[in-house]
Amino acid sequence: MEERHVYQVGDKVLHSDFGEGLVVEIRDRAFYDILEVVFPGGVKRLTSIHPLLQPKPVVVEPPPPRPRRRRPRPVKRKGKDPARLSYLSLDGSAWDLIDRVGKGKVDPLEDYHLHLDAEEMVTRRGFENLLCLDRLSGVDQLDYQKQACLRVLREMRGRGLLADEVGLGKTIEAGMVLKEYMLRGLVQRVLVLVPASLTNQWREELQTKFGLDFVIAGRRGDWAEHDLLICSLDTAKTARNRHRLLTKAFDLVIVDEAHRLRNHQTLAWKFVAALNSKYLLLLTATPVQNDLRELYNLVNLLRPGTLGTYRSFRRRYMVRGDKRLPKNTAELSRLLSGVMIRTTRSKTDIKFPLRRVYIVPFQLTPEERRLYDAVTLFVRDRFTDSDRAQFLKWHFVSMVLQKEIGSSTPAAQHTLGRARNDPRYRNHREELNRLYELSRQVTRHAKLQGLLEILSKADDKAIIFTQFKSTMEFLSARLREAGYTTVVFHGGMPTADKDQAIRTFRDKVRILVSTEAGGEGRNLHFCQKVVNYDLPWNPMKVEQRIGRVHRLGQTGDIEIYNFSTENTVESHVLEILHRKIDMFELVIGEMDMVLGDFAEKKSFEAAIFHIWAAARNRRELERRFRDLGDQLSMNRKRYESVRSLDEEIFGG
Amino acid sequence: MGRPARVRIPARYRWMADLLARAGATLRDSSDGVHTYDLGPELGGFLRRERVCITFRKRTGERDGVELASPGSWFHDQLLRYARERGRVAEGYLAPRDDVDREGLLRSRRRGFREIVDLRERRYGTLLVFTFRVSFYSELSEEQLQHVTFDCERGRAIRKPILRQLFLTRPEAPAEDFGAPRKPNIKKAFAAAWEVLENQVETRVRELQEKGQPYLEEKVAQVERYYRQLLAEEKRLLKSRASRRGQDESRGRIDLLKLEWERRVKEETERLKPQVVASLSAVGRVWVPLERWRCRVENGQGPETRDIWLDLARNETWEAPPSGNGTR
Repeated sequence: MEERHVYQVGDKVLHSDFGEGLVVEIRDRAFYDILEVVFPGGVKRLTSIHPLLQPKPVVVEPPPPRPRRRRPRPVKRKGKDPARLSYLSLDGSAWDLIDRVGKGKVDPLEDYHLHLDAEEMVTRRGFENLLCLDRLSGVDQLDYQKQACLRVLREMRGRGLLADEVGLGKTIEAGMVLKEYMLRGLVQRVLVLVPASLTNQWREELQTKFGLDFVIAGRRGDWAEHDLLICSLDTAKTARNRHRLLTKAFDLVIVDEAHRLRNHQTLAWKFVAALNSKYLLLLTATPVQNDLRELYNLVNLLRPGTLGTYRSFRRRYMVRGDKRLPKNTAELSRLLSGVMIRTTRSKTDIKFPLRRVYIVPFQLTPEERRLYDAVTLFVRDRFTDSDRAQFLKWHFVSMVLQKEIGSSTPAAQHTLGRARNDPRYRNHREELNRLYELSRQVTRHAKLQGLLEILSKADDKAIIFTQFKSTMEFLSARLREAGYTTVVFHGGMPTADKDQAIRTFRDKVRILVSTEAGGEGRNLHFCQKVVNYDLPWNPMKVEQRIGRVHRLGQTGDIEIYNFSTENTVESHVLEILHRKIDMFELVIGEMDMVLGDFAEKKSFEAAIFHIWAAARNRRELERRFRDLGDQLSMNRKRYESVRSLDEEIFGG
Repeated sequence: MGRPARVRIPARYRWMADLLARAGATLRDSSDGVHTYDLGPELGGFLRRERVCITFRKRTGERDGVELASPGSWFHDQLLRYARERGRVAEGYLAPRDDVDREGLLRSRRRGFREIVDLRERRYGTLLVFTFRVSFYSELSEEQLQHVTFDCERGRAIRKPILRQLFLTRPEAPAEDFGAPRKPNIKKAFAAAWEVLENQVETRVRELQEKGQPYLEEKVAQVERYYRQLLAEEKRLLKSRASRRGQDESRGRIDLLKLEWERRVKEETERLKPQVVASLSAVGRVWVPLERWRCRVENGQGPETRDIWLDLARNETWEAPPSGNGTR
């Protein structure tokens, strides 16, 4: 597909009616520019995508004739484009083979014949088989996923809405389609648009499961040059990035959580509609949330006209007076089947294992409590500092400190030790020294004792999650002292070491102590016990932890232990997640739906910290946490009603 | 090298047995429809196991520790993958046939043939067999395996494909009294083979386009219908609008819809156009025994001598041009 031209002031243009002109002004619009062009007949205002307008070709002196090449080379070696037929391309590996023939590096003749036989057998099966299946790692390859992939490839010709219920692996299906297209040489440039909170997860999954190295597009950097891009929808639609992405031609665009495109008047919808992409996959478990128009808008992104104009769609398929109720459902289903795939759990044999959730309450030891309260006071003082510069300087550090003290004393001690020697924080050196000394007085760790008790009750494998490396090291050392075999796993380890750690855990040791980054994309379903030694304030991270073991392929029931220490931030977070929204009963993937706007960036974490640090007294603190819980509780109810609506519309 | 020893399994699974034997696997036991193989280091490393018990019977395959190996099974797919990663470049000699009627063949090549003068040259020539896997991605998707043979002596692709059986009956070493082949220009050969492939693909794509035309037309018509409807709705709105500003807005929207219409039709046509991806699967270099004979022929103005090449393996002849020796 040809790329759109980006005009600059001073560019010469050609218009088939007005002749040659000069661009004198450009007004930036969402998906095209308005150009003011001076033609011999006067000034005209045109859109930059006007079909009769084109940039005037720059006349370049022809280069001196090159000497004739002795050897003809009809096919470009790297460009892969054939000499004559635009639709025919040659797989790049051909040249390696040609080189091998030239160098006389040959295989035995028997292998050649067996190779040709194998090729014939594979060819007979044609497009019935998926090439990607052999190249996936750590993917269960369920039958309904393969069928979905084949339907997208064959029937939908690469433009489809994957609307499986939560937890059935839409990401895997999209990855399979992507990999299949890439293996067949039909896709080279890919853009994956996801919520900001999922960019890393997507990159990790595409890398570990599909062997594809994607680059995350940020606000800065030269990412636009890469062919495999992951970008958050919010980042992509900013004025600067929008322009860069819209002028690029993609072979495939994947939009995760595509229900964010339900409104055709939003910038996000318009942006995706204006993207130049041959294939488009939209992923959402809830294609209809409030109104059938949302479904119409999604389908219109994929294939405009499939459902007619909105006016005719409303007349034909919507019950008058009820925007959620469809009519002529058989016909609507038939039309949708050409663009949408929806698998529900009831249509599969998938049985998710049971989750048993235990809240393990603790009282901090007197020394721990003294330290916790002192740190909290210090954090609140910094947070309410009227000096803006001081506030900004301390904001991040104080939030980390508050999280660390909720995790373990050694984690906080590590930061306090560094901060008290840091000249940037010299104004508070005295307080930091005092806090550090308090941390040194902590000799008994309430949660550690509890952990040892839990581990002593059974001898099965367990993953202990913590947010901080210092806590991880502390736990690992103490567990070894207590006679347990452990292995650690954290984000700073090289990939090979990570793989080795997982193998060691699987084959040799009983306990894996891991930080958040631990295990993303790696299969840990041989373990059934998860201990949340500390609790991240971001529920998506909690979900990711559980998702490491509670996933397709897990055969046993899961035990989740959540440590909760009284009167800490974490106890409030747990109260909201467990009691208000029953988070631990949700299927992996549903938390994102419940969080709604909170899922973006770090807003939930920020809200938690703000409530904790800004509360003037205990009553206010509890009221504000209660309000937050109520809000999430409403979100959950809303999500459930959306889920039942979708079941009603599409069948459960 | 002889063909690997065959085990007692149905003929349609012979390929698998051949492959297992070729990969160094040894059959330890074969009873009750279960064949136990020690896989050896290479195949064992590939499959990440040392031993495998396979069966071709579906019911037996349900037993614990027994792997179903029929086509379509995981094991069969893995062996296909193993085979396809290997044996991509090979070379071999074709044996001269014993029953070649040299004079008869030379006579049939040239009208006015009078007699053989002498044998000028005896050496091997080169045929290059390019095997392409061609994937057509369109409304009617399909894959084909195309073999294109390039005759390096004559400098052109030949119609008759080299038969696999012929290639199999090759001798282990060149015949003693045949000279070495000339070094072929492989890139030139590939260029010519690619051109042949392009012609074949072009023909097939034309057929596919004809077959897929109704589908394409239907999809494009759907888009066109949609935009036509949208335009009609917008034009109705324009008529009903009283304010100048509202009318301008509608006109602007109509302009934009027209642009979008054009863009969407173009995109849809582009997307539904057949796409073809060819990959070079294997290259075989075949050495054929050749003889160049000088013959006396009658050309209408009197006798003259001409050189004629004779392919002793495939019973083919071709005339060398008057200048040069007929090879390129």
